[in-house]
Amino acid sequence: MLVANNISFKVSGKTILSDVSLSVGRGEILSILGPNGAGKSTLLKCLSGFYTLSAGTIFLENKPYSELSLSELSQRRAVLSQQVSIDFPFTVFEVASMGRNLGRSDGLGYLDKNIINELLDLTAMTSMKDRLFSSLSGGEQQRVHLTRVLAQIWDQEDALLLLDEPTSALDLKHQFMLFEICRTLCETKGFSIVTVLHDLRLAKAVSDRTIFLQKGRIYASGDSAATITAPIVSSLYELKPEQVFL
Amino acid sequence: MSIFSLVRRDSPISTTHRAFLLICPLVFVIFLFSLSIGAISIPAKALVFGGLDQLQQSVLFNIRLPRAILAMSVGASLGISGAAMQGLFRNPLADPGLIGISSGAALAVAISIVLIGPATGFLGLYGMGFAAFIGGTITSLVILRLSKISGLFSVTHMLLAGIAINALTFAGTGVLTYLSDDQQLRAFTFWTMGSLGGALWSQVFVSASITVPAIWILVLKARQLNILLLGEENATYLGIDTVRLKRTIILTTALTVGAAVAISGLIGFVGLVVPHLIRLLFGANHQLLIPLSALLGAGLLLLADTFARTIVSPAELPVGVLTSLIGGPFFLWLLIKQTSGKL
Amino acid sequence: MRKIFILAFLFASSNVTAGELPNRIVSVGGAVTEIIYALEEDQRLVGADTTSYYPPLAAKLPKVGYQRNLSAEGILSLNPDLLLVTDDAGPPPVLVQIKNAGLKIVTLKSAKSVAHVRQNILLVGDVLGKTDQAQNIVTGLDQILQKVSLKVSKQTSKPSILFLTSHGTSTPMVAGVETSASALIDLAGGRNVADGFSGYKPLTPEAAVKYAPDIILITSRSLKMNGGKEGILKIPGIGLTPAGKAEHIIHMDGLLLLGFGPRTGAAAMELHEKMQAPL
Repeated sequence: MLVANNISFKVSGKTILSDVSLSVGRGEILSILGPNGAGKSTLLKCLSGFYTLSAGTIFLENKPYSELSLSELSQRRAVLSQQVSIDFPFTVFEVASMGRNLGRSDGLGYLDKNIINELLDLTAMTSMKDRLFSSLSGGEQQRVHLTRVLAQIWDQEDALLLLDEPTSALDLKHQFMLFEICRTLCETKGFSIVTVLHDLRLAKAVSDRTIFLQKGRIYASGDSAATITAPIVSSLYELKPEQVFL
Repeated sequence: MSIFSLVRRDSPISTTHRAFLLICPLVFVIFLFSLSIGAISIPAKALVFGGLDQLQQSVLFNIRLPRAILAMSVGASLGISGAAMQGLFRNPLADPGLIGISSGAALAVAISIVLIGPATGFLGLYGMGFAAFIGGTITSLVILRLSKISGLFSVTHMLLAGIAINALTFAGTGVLTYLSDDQQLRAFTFWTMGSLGGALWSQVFVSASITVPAIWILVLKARQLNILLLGEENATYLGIDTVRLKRTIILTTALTVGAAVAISGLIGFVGLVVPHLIRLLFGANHQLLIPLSALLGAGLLLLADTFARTIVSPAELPVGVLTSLIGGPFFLWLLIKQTSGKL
Repeated sequence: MRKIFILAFLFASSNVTAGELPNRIVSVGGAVTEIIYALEEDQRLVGADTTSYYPPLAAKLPKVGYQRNLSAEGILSLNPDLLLVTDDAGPPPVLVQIKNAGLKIVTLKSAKSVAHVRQNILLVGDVLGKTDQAQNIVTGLDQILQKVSLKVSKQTSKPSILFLTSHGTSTPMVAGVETSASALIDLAGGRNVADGFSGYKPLTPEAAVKYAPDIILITSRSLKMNGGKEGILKIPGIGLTPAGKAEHIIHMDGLLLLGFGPRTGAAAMELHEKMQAPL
């Protein structure tokens, strides 16, 4: 359960986010939408605890972020960021297993390996697990990162999962695979999921609620079905109504 | 099972076993080879089973053994500092020599030679090591700052910063050579060329007392170094205090590079070549990369030093000259490979 | 393993040659080697450094490298019982290694005066058990030096001399005071014009003109590396000095001129005569 109260974020005097409030309940998927430069990724980085807020507070399970240590936070929320390239010859399995850090310096335990293998199955990456990460296509790399991120919080209940444009490199089949996994996690483990998306129709199909951002402020929010509508979209994206297909 | 199954990536043996089965015997053979070869012949057989005469024993324990162990200790510290720097900068081209850390340390040692004089005792060696450590830390921090100007670590920024710092320290040492007298100048040139010729047990002790804990620290941080390669943001999401991690890595490498530079001068390219070979054979996992870089670095520098002291016998070639001769072309090849996007 | 270590250290600290005269000597430094030859004890030499090339026989001895860049094993491989060196020998850690390996080292002065030469000859004589012969050599040296100083006292004026060392590519260096070049110039009745500093300093063209030497003194090797007289005259500033205009350049063998060995008297005589010789 994530609650953000009146959060603002400034970088060198420039306001990127101002006065954004939102909440994501247990088992809920929230999508963040909006034009380029609206502050979607910044909002996600604030919700992940990576950026220090200029104003406002974020609570995870009624505890403010400021009272959670990096490792406590890492056990309750995971973040799939935009494409990360690695210049070194790691195998798929090695990259995926980085999700099982949990503050230890020694190798992976038996349980960790089981979790990773299970998740590689889930993301359909098992056949490539010994391949070099750098030899994979963008979509495949994204699936490895998804595996890694899921591995981080796989044995938790009520965890928070943040996704920053997770579908950008995925084909249609794997986009649906991703959100099928998300929905299952929400239902079986009570995860809360926040995802930044570009594809409005996908957002309408997979998310429970939606926030539209415009220039760092909330433009509209509510049930996805009721919020992602032609009038809102056309005025927000400055399009003619007949250009909008939902 | 043939020896090739140790090298093949798809070998049935686990990577860890494969790696140590290959590298450990290799280093041991180099060690025996190095102890047996030289102006005075010491047969490897007698080394293992005994039967050395007095002269051979004396040469072995006073000259060859300290020199071999010193070469291994310095080689190991160069190997791990290269591996750690490459992880930190997320760039396989980072090398303490190329990016100026070694020359920063060298300048500090040069200053201490001119101010205090060359040192052979324990206190002097630690003093020089400490000076080199300060020099190395300052340059590491400057480079870290400079290479992040664009917000991301970029190769160009890193290498350019390295060029600038190398030029700056070169000028600094140039000024020092004018300030110093004949005696200092001689001590100084002998030391800058990079040689292990003056190996004494005291140096072995000083070098090992820094290298061994450094290897241990970096092995402990190996998993975190892996994760740092995902970028600082992702590493933070995984619960890693990246500021602290970077500080630990920088201080540890500056200390090892400093000790190596203080004892044996500038020996280039070991830190670049060794981790690269390990990655090529056994992948990038730092849990293997760090200890294996220490082992292979020890072996390769020992081999290079063995050649350095025997090919123009009874005179010696500075080992730094030899490693640069091999490492330079290797670096160019890496650069071409990386810029053509095949790395 | 530990036993071997202890044995090794015991061995290293014991003195192998105590009480006995050395029979296998490695000599480092041209002048040191010359002294041994002058004592006619060269049959005891088993090796020498590259600066030991006089008498010509010395050049044929097994070589242990350049005196400032010795290697411990190169020397020990000759199985010597004594290492004779000067202060110039190095690098220092290598000498420590050799000492640790149990070889006796006797260090002579890197001679820059006649007093040093006498001291060195007598010391080597002592070490080799040839005290009387050493005394004779010193007496002979003093006799020649007396002849030189008699000649010098008859001089009407002291020619001013600039000693240069140059290997052709880098800036030439000038010998100031407290150098062996300056000391020999004094003995031969010349005056070193570069008397404002000790040791060697790079020569600037303007300084050359200011020194205004009558004679340029160089080693035969420097002359050769600079391509003869013409090469020396092309060094910036030299052409503008009296010596340069008169093309008055004297060259002598480096070891003879700078070595300060038993031939120091002969060297002073030769330099004196070359200075006085008409052009």
